[in-house]
Amino acid sequence: MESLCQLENLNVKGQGRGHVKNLSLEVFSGELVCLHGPPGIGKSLALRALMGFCPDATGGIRLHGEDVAGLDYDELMRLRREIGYSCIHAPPLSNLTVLANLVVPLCMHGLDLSEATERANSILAEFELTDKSHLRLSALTAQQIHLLSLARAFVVPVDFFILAEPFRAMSWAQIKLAEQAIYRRVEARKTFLVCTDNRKFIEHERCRVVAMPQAV
Amino acid sequence: MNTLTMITATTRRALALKGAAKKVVWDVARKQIFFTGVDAIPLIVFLGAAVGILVIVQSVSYLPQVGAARFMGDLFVLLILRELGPILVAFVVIARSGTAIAAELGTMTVRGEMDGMMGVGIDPLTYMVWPRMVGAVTAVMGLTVIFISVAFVAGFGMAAFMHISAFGFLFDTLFRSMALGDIAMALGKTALMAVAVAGVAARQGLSAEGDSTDVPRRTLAAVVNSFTAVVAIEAVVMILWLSLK
Repeated sequence: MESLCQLENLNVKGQGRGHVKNLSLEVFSGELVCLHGPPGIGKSLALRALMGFCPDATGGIRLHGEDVAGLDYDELMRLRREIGYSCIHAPPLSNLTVLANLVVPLCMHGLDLSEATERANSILAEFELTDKSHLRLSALTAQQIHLLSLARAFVVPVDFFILAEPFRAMSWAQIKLAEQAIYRRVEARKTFLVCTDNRKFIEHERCRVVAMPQAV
Repeated sequence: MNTLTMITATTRRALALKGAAKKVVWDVARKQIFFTGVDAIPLIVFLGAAVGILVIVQSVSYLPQVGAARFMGDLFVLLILRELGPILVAFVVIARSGTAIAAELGTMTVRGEMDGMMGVGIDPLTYMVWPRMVGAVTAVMGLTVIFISVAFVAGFGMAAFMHISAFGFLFDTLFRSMALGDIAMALGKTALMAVAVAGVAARQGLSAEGDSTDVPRRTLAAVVNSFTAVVAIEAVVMILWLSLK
């Protein structure tokens, strides 16, 4: 199996309460890996560092075989296009409609407008957001915005997804919807690295749990 | 990344865009042109008329009294076309659009929307900064043409209305003094100022960090730095212009 991402002794100092200390993990293609730990331990921060958002992170970070720390801005953008990323701290664009939030990434990935709109509409249907497609984010609830954030990660045609706290601040019905969307893709041999404190999710038979080390 | 590096990197990446990505970016640019340009027309018309009346009526009244009537056309070109037009329009754009760009991008940055955008592979420089630069340049050049035209028409009209001078004579004096180079210089300077204002404002907005209290700080810095940049461009272009003549 191909190694898609690798963290070796990752250390990141967070601005808030979370810090990452000596985290090591490797994710292989087709796996569902769950980084598990209590809230505030630095799980999302670790995934942010993996995506190249923490320039002060130390330790080895390899994504699709490339050393993230050694990449320039353009190379990092190219690498991010190969990943579906969602994070509770990185919401969709508030000045766009729900549909545009999905269409714009696809167009920037090179799809033509009609193809992008068709794909975006199918993802909105999957997340039961079709009736909200023409609304701006100010008209959505916080829960719907989180769901849209997850939908945006799934709209891009990639095989590897990094999801930071995908179920946070969601209703039970939305959690179920999000879980089903993830499981469907796991069945289709897509790869996931998810950080969550959702106990039910990590009990899934395909899930490999990595415990987040406590920062001292 | 400093402002100049950011402007260069933005331009390089935007020129490499293709297909639907290009269309998406131009849609954002069109909205920026509307906000920076069309929405600002009433204010620019008012300012242009006021400045034109002040400068032209006073010049037409006093220059003949001191035997300098033959310099009237040169003075109109120098004051309104080459200096006041570009710089006053730039000041208006700093106050309206520079602050708006810095505040919008700053808010998006502290809310994490920029990270979300980069997380799905959208480059903020091409999707957010480039359309604002293009929009600012297009709108500011248009506004400068409107400002200068309104200033001349209003000034000459008021001078004629007050029976100080004839409308046609004043236009004739203006056209005899105005060269194509003067127009090119005014528009070129305006374009440079617009790039500077949008670039400075975008850089400040994207540099916001921490929480929302940083947004007004960045907006203020955008205003101060934009004013400095515009005045510096004004001085440098004037020195170059005089040394080339």
